[in-house]
Amino acid sequence: MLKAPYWFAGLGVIVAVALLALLLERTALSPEEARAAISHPESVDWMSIEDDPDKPIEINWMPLPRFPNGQEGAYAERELEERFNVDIKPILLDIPGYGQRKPMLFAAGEIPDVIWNGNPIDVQRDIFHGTIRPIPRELIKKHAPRYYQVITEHAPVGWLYADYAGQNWGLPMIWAEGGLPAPGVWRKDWLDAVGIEKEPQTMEEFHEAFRRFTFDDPDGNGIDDTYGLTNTNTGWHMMFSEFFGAYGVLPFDWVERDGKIVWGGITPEAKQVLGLLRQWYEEGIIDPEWVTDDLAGTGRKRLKEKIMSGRIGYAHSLGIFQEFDAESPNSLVNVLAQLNPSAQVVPAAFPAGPDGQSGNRVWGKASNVYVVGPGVIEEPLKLIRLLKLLEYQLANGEDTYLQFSYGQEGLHWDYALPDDGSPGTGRESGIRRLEPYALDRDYQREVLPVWGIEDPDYERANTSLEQRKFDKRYRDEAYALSNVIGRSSMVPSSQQYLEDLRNWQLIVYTEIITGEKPLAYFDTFVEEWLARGGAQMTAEAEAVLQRKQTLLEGDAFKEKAIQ
Amino acid sequence: MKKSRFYKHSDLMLMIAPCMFLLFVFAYIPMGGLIIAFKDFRLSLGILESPWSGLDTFRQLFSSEDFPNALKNTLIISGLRITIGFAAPIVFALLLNEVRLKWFGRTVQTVTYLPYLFSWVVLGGIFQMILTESGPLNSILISLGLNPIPFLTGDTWFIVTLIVTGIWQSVGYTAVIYMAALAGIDPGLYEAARIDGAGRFKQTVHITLPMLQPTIIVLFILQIGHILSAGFDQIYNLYNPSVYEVSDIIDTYVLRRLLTMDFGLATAAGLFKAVVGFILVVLANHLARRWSDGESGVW
Repeated sequence: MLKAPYWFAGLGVIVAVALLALLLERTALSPEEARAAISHPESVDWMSIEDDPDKPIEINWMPLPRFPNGQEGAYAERELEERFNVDIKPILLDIPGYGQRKPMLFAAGEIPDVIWNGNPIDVQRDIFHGTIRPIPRELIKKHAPRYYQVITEHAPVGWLYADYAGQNWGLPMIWAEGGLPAPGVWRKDWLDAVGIEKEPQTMEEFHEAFRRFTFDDPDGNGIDDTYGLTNTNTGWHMMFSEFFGAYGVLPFDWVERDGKIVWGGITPEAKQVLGLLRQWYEEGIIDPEWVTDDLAGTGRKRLKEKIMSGRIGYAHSLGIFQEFDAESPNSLVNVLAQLNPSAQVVPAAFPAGPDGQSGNRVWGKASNVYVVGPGVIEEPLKLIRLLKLLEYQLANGEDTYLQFSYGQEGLHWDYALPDDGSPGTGRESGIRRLEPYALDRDYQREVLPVWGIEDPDYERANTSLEQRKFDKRYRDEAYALSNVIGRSSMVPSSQQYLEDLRNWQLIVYTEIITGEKPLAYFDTFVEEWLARGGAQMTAEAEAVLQRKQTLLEGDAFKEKAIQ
Repeated sequence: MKKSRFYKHSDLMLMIAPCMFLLFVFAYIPMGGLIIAFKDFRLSLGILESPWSGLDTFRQLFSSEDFPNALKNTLIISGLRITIGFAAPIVFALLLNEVRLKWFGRTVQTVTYLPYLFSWVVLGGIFQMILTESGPLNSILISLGLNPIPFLTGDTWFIVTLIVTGIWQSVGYTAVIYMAALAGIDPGLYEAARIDGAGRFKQTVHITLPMLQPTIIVLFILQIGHILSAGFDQIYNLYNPSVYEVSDIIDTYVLRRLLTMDFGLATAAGLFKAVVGFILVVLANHLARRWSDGESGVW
């Protein structure tokens, strides 16, 4: 220590570690090795296992993390526990809490029996880490045929989300509203003020309205303080999406072109729309604050403020029933009536492009996937009971479905109008929560449906006539545009590239629209996008698309008419 | 000889033993987990069973877009903290030392020390309230006819906010260390200087600063070791999507990778940070000793 510099020892350790690492150098796992890493020696002969209803079963359950106020022992949970002789131990969290808790639990080896996964990539991560177990499709058909049928009928792509290496790894869920596209809204009083009688339908008509909103002083205050529209540059899933839709492209999703899968953001159509938006920005009809406004992060609050205060005359994605619900005190129309009684809003059409295409992006009805941990291998009845429980909620008629989705009729909820047989009463008046369960907080604590599954038919039947009319008129499913493989994160290497490339694309798009970069930069972007992992993702996406086709057209899906 | 020294100080050794034990359990044993950085880590296989992958993880780390960006941001933010933030408490302590009214000096010292006791979770909320575009500070600017300043959303302004609030929070605490060193300076030196006709300024330059030098160097070396820690608590509680590009630092990157269960990448990034920090501390200490002929330095 005296002669040799004391710090040399430390450096020596580092060098030694690096050398050791080099000696152990080898490439990543080969596909076979990777497969071996996820296959598990324990196997259960699932089809031969029969349930023993007298045996009590405990299930650790990490459900949809939307119930920060939930607690164990809510109505739906108690009912299920009693009926199926199970003891459900829920881990109730909010989304950030879930994001932090899951890696902790998994790393500590305390893997719950049932785990909610919001995204196919999370399913793949769990498979990669070997923390979940496959659920044979045959087993689902055997114990939960109705559930199988509902998914296959309404959201078959959910099976793709749960699929990996030719096996089924999860139970896909449904979110019925996810299939409906949301249009924008107009300030009707502004349209009137600038002399536009017919609500804009085409891109040209939209453009004209934006121009007049900006330059013809629609609020009549003599000051040049209005813009046509604003948008978001943080929420990729809604960034000018209806205008891209008019050209038949989704810039942040996989689309199909001539039978090949391609990233929408690098297509010539995307460039065309960018050129158009760039021109709009130059004309000054896009609110320059769109670059800094975090419209995706703060929900719709800021967007609503902008259209209510009269800064913009068109706001994207606000054309949903909740905003036009005369009964709800928080709806856009009711808040507007208080703040600015002379203002009026109406839902917009989806702008039609030069080839007559139109529509907006949807997530699709297939939503999340539940996966199961190794606990189901130790006690196979956990999985069987789980499937039965799920089946029970869907297969026993509307009353049972409503009981587990909304709570007890007459206690937790009731129809808005009693049923006297006339149209618009009973189920057609929609479901209303009763006091003292009306607030989310109390509802979650007392009622709380454990599953996140919806049966779109039952949901529809219990939606108010008014909302049904609204949805039919303004949110026609024919205008829904979705990713051809459902979620971009279905592609395995998206784990590595997707987020970086997406953030970069948001920046490049923003710079092109605001004129910081020339439109020609788009071609450089396309080249670089492909070089920075895009090409690899595209090749893999092609394989996913083929897998989707074989999976959804395969024998499994021909037997839709399971009784 | 060694043996006798050990027994001579056996009571001291006994007293330090629990600390060494805790250090061993919570700082050294977990270091074994660092091998995750060199493995294709799978939770189900565990740390030991997972296959080795050589330097793959590091290759992936440096070929990605966001780690080099996080590294760059970390260096920029830390660089600014060290250049600007390091001088601030020294200047502050010197000024405070010159205050004649003792009660005033003590009050200022207490008031400036106070923010150090607050967690950034609390401070983050307070600053977000004060600095948003519609917050009180910008309201004042607007009422003066000025443009509002995007303290939290503008790329450059956010960095300014980080540095300034960072200094505000820690200046009092660091100044206390300098104050302690100042209190230890032999008054005889000042007396002699005054007799030689040195004014306040000359006394500061020729007596105070040289006497503070060892403290400054020690704090500087410690600071250098943290050059790759750009202040996680503060940034995590203040940042938002519009400034991710400039404020994503190594620590936020590590957290993000942990949450996506990319344990290998997270460990590799953390290890990289620790190794660079270690090398810098050793190097800074070495240089400090060399320049001061072995008198200063942490060890």
